[in-house]
Amino acid sequence: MNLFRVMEISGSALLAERMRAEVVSANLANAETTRVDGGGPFQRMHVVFGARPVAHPSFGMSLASFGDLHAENVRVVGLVGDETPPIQRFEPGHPDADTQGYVSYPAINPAEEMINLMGAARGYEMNASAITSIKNMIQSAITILG
Amino acid sequence: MTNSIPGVPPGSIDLGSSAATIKPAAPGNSADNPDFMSTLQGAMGQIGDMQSEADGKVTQLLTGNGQDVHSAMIAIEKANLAFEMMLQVRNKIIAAYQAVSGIAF
Amino acid sequence: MSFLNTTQLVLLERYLDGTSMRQTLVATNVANVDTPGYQTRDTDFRGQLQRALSGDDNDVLVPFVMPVRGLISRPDGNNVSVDRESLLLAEIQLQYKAAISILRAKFALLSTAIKEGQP
Repeated sequence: MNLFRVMEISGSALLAERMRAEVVSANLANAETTRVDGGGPFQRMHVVFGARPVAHPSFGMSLASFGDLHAENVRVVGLVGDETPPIQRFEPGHPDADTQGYVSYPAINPAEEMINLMGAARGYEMNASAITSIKNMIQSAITILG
Repeated sequence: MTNSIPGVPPGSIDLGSSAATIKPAAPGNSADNPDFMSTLQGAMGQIGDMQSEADGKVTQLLTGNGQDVHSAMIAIEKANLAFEMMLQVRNKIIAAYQAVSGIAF
Repeated sequence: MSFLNTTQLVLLERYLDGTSMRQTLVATNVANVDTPGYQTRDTDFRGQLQRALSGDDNDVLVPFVMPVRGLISRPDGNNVSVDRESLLLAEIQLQYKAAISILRAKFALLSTAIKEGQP
């Protein structure tokens, strides 16, 4: 596996981390949303990362994937809804209150979402610096010929 | 010591004999083959091989076939140096011929 | 053309192969910092280079890629250490660039020797 190929893998990780950040931001923005189009409170979502083999690896890429190091991109393999039951709060005057006066709020913990967001940002930053270091290596290799 | 890329079955990749050993190549045995002409032709053949090897690596690099940039660069530089060497040898031969035959070109 | 395949030059080229390969492993580790169950990988190419230099006749080199010991796994099974990988990214990049510089110097010397100082 050569340096160009691994830049692709780092790039796929950048995309995955960004999607994660977007999903977490949507959770944060909707922490108090009691009514969505389909009825009921907003459902917390979270992403699942996984490795996906490259769809059509070239012969050279297969050859370069020696040992157990296969050419696999990092992908968001799933967007999963949280099954945690919504939080019930007693607010009889609320327009979305049920017959007993309880309102269902999304089971979103802002502190936890912030930590996830910071994790996504850190992951994004690390992959960006990996790409930079590989770019520097390739550039210095080009100088062999002067 | 043969060189092989770990994890790949030996023999499935031809690295070219010129890059395959860590130990330095044995010096040529001029005692067995004193023919200057054939030594020269052998050297020119080697240069052709090195140029082809370099071209092959560049093609692999350009078509995205898992070639490292530094490998292609090194192959090109080596081929250039070998060619340059032969050029200098040729110049020396011509100079020697001129000196011997006393003809000024 | 044995002057082009001295131990030094071949060693430098193998070193470049090894460091760039190791950097791809580090970058893969970094890319998978949030993948559940992912285990950090590394290689010991310098140890293998040393063994090759000392003359061990290993025709079949064992596969480079190996798991790393001593890392702590998080609850999702991932054991990638952000600090370790960041450090390696910087370190390996410098090793690669240093080897490139040395290689360039050797080629420049060869070129000068061949041309005997004439352009």
